[in-house]
Amino acid sequence: MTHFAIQFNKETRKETLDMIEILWFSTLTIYKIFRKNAEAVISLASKMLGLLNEFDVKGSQVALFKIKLRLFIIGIIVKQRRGDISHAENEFKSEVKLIHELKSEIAEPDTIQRITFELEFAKAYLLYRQKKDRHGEGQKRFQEIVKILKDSCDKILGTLHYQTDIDRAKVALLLSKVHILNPKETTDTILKERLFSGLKQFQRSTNLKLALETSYSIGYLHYQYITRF
Amino acid sequence: MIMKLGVFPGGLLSLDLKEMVKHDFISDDWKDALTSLFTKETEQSLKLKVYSVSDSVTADRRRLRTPVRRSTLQLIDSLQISTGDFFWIQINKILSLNGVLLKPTEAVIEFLMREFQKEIQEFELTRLNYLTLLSLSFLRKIENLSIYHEKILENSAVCKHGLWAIAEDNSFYQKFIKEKAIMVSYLDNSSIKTAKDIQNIYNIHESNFLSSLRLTFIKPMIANTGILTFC
Repeated sequence: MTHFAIQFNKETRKETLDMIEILWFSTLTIYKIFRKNAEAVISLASKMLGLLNEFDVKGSQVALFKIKLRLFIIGIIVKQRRGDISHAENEFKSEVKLIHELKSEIAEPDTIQRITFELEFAKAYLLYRQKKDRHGEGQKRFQEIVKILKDSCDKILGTLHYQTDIDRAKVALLLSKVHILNPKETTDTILKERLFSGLKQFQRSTNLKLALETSYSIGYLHYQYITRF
Repeated sequence: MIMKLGVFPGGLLSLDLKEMVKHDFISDDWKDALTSLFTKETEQSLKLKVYSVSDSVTADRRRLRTPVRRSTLQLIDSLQISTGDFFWIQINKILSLNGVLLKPTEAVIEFLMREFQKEIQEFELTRLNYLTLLSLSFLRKIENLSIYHEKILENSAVCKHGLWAIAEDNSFYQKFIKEKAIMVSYLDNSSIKTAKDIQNIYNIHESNFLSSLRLTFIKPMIANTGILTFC
């Protein structure tokens, strides 16, 4: 029987964690792109979360990675589980609860704000999807989405000092989508300006799909405006 | 060489090996090692090489001794090695990439995992570093080919902004990406131009990527004691 031991130092630990963070998240993303099976993708993300728990390492880095994995799962739940809305909503709530618990392990206030932004934005998007799929409760639901986007998301973005352009562009795009679904709502000039600015951001960062969606929103809102008069 | 290939359950393309040499992950003697193993060799000499790997486990030795080599001796120009199914490895030509896929058999993977834990452990960080570079290169290629686009609620490694950007103080980012911008260059080949092309390469590597979830070797590198003991 062979007996041997390998000693690892602190640098190896940091190096391994840093690498695992990138490798696992990229692996999960590529798996999502090629496999396209929501259940299998969520299962892989959950497996990663389980393995991270096995590491038994506390601290901001691992907590943030777990939060990213849970936000990733939320992205799949909201986007791909369209059939069973109540089930998706329960899963969403459960993930949000776990993220809030993990947030207490994060030390950086800026990161905490960004996590809160992602949660609020996801909540607004979930409500939008429910409305789009005719599961909402009319005008009240529209107001709720707009309130989250303007009072929570915009407010949080206002407190952050860098790398908020794409997030701002996404908020504007979602606001415009809500306006398109609800023609009674009048579009203000500020939203139009935000959409033009967002379009530039998406083009600059080569987010072609989002740039196209923004262009469509600008065109459609303009059309709504003309036909109203 | 056998050990380095054996830790990639999906196998490696000759192009991966070239790439690993280029970025100093492995030495450049892999070609010679493969050529000496698979050029005009008799099964008897192959058997002898496998026997010399270890004298400890007779059951595994017996399994590896069984000749299962089938179609062989089709020389690959660039490598000058034979393709076919050998008892410890499958070597297949990948025409679209002008390379070969070297895939260890299940028995060999199991054998190595059991008998060469120390050597595998020492190579693990290098292996994972290469897989990380490969995964990032896949994402870049996917973006360049426009086969997947960021969605409004994306929350994945496709995003490069805000919470999703790789931290500046990440040691992998600093070592490989920030200044050197190292990527796996064979994915930039102009022959890889459709979603199907890139998916075919991904299919080869999927089990390699998923093997990065093998905790046996990662856990000790992260654990508080930082000591891995094999008995």
